[in-house]
Amino acid sequence: MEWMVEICYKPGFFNAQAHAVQKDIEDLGISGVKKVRTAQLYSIEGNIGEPELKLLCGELLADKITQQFRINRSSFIVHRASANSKTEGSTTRWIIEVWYKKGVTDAVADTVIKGAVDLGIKGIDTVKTGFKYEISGGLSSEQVERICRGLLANKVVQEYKIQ
Amino acid sequence: MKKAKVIVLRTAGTNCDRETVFAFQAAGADVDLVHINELIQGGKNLEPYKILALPGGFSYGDDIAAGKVLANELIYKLRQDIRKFVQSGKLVIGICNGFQVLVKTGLLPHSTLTFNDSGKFEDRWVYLKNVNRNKCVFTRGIKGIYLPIAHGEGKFVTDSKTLKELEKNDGIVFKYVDGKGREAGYPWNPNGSMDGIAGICNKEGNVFGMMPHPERFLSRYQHPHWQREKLPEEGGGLKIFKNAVQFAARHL
Amino acid sequence: MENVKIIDILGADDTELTRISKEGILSLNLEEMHAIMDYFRKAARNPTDVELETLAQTWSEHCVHKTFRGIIEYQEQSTVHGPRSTEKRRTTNDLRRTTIIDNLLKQTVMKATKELDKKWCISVFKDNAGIIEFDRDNAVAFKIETHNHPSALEPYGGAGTGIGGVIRDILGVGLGAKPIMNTDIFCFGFPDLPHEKLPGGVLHPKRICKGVVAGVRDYGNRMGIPTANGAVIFDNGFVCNPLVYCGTVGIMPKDKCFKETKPGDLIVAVGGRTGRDGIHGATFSSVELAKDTEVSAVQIGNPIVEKKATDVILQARDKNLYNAITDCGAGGFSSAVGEMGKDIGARVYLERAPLKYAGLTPWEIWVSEAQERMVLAVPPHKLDEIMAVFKAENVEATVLGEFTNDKKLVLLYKGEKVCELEMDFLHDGVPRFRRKAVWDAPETRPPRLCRGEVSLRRGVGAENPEQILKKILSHPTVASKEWIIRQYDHEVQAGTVLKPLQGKENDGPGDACVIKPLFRSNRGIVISNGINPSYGKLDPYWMAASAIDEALRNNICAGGSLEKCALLDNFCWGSPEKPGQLAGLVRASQACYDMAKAYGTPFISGKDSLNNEYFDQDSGKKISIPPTLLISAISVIPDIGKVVSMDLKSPGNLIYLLGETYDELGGSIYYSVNGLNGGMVPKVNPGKAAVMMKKLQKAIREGIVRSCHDCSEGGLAVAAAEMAFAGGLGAEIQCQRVNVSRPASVGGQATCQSLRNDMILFSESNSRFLAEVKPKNRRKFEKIMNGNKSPLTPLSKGGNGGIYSVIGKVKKDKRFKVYGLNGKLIINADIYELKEAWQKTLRW
Repeated sequence: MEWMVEICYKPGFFNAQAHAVQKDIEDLGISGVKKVRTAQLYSIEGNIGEPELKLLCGELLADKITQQFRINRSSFIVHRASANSKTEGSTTRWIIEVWYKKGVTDAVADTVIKGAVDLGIKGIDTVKTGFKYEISGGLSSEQVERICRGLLANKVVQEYKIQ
Repeated sequence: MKKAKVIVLRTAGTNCDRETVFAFQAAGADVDLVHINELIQGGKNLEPYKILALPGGFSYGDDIAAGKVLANELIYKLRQDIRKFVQSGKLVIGICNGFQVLVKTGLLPHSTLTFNDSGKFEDRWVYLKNVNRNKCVFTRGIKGIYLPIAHGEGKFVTDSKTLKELEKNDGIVFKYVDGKGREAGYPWNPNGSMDGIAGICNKEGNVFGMMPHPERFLSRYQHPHWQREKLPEEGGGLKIFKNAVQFAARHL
Repeated sequence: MENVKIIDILGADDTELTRISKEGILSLNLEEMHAIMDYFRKAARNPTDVELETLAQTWSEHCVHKTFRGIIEYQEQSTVHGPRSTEKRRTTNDLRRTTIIDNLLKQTVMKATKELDKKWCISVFKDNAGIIEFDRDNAVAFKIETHNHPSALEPYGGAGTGIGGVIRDILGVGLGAKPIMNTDIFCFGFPDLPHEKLPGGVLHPKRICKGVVAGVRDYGNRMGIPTANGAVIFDNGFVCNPLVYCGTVGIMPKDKCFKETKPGDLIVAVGGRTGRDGIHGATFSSVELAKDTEVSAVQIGNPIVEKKATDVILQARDKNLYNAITDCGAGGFSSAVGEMGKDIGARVYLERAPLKYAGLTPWEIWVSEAQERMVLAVPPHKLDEIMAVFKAENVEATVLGEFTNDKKLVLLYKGEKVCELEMDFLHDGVPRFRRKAVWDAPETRPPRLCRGEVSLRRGVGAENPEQILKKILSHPTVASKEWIIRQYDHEVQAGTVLKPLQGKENDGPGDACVIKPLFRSNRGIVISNGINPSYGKLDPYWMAASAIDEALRNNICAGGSLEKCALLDNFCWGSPEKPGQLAGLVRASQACYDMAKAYGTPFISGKDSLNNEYFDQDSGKKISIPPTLLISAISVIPDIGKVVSMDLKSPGNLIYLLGETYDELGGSIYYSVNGLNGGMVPKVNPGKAAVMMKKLQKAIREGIVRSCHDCSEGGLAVAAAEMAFAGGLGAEIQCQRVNVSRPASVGGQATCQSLRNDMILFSESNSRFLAEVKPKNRRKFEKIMNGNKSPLTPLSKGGNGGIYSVIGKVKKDKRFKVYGLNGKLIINADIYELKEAWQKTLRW
């Protein structure tokens, strides 16, 4: 079974990382970004069912006070390549996912497996960690490419997908 | 008087263990530095100890969230022992990563420590005001103290209900203040903590966590202004360890 | 054979040999390929890929320093200036004499150490790091490494693994030292470089800077080692090739300073697993970067794996459970096992290595540079005990094979012999380079008097000295690095007694860092650095001399000790195949020898990173970095209670300038902010400087120096301003009181004509300090400065060796005031305004 877990901040909690990304985009000389949201992604494979996954999210992956989680069967988010940006008025919402390339050390992924075993969840085979960025504003696809290459992902060790 | 026995618990990524051991030794305790595996596998147990210290560091890399994995290890693998230790009134102190662990075990009131508002790790000295009305065993006799913080996830967050309870139960211990003792914003409050809270204790006052590092200020030479100001030989942080050791020797 | 490829080199011609080396990223030149061919011809067989890879790793520039150990034909053209005192003797016009230098390292850097023969040097130039005595029972080890190429491609991972690597050097020196401090020095392009000026395939300097800082932060902080000292230089010569120097200091018991692998010892790998990450790192560092450089050379580290390994290895060390240890750095197992078994031989079963994932071929396992791995030589009867130590803390350890006594390196993979090489050939078979070096000195016109002033009037005439001072304070090289420093935990281990940020508001720029490594002793170590690539563009000799002087200045003014001070050298250069570049390297090395001898400060370890070039596909040119030498100094002091910070302490105190000011604006920040080039590079008279430093050291030990700061980038004005705003106090400086000298070769005393305010304020002449002294200690201080001799006694007869004068006073009002040569007030600035100019640039 392959699962995709998304951890993000509950409404009303300050997301320091998103704030920093927004500032860094301005440093790239790109203005017009209205809002940045970020989420941590975990792709989890193995013999693990939804109740166990909920335990894992509630007890390990998400902070009980500041964060919430969403579980999707299979990693359709990653593999869906056809999706596009959504346009609402002059504001476009871009969704970018960044993942480590195969073979690159992913320390957090190893810790997830250890932490799961501590909770008594033993069926996990592989974990991959990734980041999701939601960038809203009047950005062109070229600008979003530049943000990805210049800031969010390093093609040497990571790959990214823009939706 | 018999020396109070202290256990300083370490695991993968703990890195303030040696100075914490030294702080308790300087306060007159008999200290053991123990790896958590020894407790889990039963080679050692908490029974002989009066004080449990969770030192600073990056337990398990602080991967996922600071202190989270160690917190789970404590509550899922040592639940009974820890509960017994706390319920018997023995003392628990968590410093920095140890505080992050304590809030995530639920041994302290419902709250969390999350990413600094600045979005980055910061090492700086901060002024703390002790607002506790004497509940916390560790901080009795301390009015204010100047200590370093060094963390990336030190922003104290809780809900309004818990905050009220904390106030009612005398659970708030240290607050970040400016040089004149007033509540203030960044950089005085270095991480954006709610109400400037830097340290809290449980209802009973025997479990205490704080983000700043008292073990880094045991002698005047650790103070950033020791060449500018007349300071006593003993650093302000030592009092916290002495309080605990003296309490344990007298009451436990 | 099933798992390895046989490479046909016996039947290959030169073109084919070159192709094999290039396509395999072996970085072996034709001569080396011939040496390998000859060896296998005698063995009557072709090598396996494992053998070829092993030779390539072991013979890489990174591992054997071929350039430094090779033969260099050195030639000098045009005028060359020697040290001031001997200048006339050494100046020769159009010198074309060729000198043969057989092993540059032994002839210069190491020679100084040998001749100085300090008793407190325990282990120099033979282990992973240099080791000196700390106290009766302990020693300290110090090493600095570079991780430039990986950091250019992946700043976060590159810098993180750079720091991880140098920490392992310390963990693997002798029988292992406990890391107690990190120091990191970076060179980047300007952070405000317009994006459109960025060459293709290159990351923007600001992104590199942020990534590198984050990498050092996340690795160093997690390791629990204070990163308490460093420097950052910005120059567009580093846009394509940033420099990332990572250094670590460790402490160890004196009886654990040496290792000895014994035949029969088991080869035990400890720590991280082996993956394909970091394949070809050693050979990769000898290749210039191109847009599509192979990426498996870059890796991301896992500090917690290394922290765990550190914890258990130190326990095993204290239980005497192994005979030798070394780290897996460049070249991975190949280098580690090859080095440990050099004199005896080793046999390794490659399939035993724990892998991150399946599918690695034998040569990949053997040369992988996967992080966080150490190799130990464990006597068989201690195996169970050491394995128990590792297991207790979930650290993976595996017996890979054993050390033998047949002087051969034998590798097996699933029963098949995949490599058999004579250790002698592996380690001594590399042909020595013979290279030409031609020094063509850039024209160093004698400074035309008032040239700077003329330009000033013409170019930036509207600006007054105050605006220029602010501009210099805002130059990123001078500007506050607080944004970086605070991201590092510089106080973990609780021994940082002189912090990188100093003064009233904990934000002044410290000169050096002082660590008290033992809880129960007041002994300390003082760590400092010196680096200035701008001078390297003018003359690498004086750049090197200046870097040494700066490192020592920083050390002494914080309270360090010149008598027990050791140096590290770290050369980052362009291609040694270019005669001009190589000549610069020769000159810099010569300066290392001259200065080390004169100061009495031995080199104990060093490193070189050559080929810092980038092939720019757009212009088709190879771009090389400015020649850069980092000098790091470590000194041991008996009492940390005597160290001094740089912030002004109390109003009314006197401000002394120690040392002489020359018209040396070449390579200065003053020229840089005004867009001027050329000029005289600052020189060093180490004889005079050493005498001055010893006197200052004495005054500091006697407790009569309240604050002390050296004059470096930006000169006297910047140093004085920094002291003022760090102390939250005003200062008044009189230009008239500054001792201005002219180089001996020009002759005589300074003439009125050459005296200019800008030169006095912004010249970067070496060996100068500002010291704050209470008026009541004036006589005492001056007595120390005069020594027993009259100020007029020549240096050779033990004279005072330098000049000092009271140039100003500490003031209560928060204004920084400078009076020009004519007595008029030329700078009158609020200290907080100056501080803001200094802080705003890098406040990200």
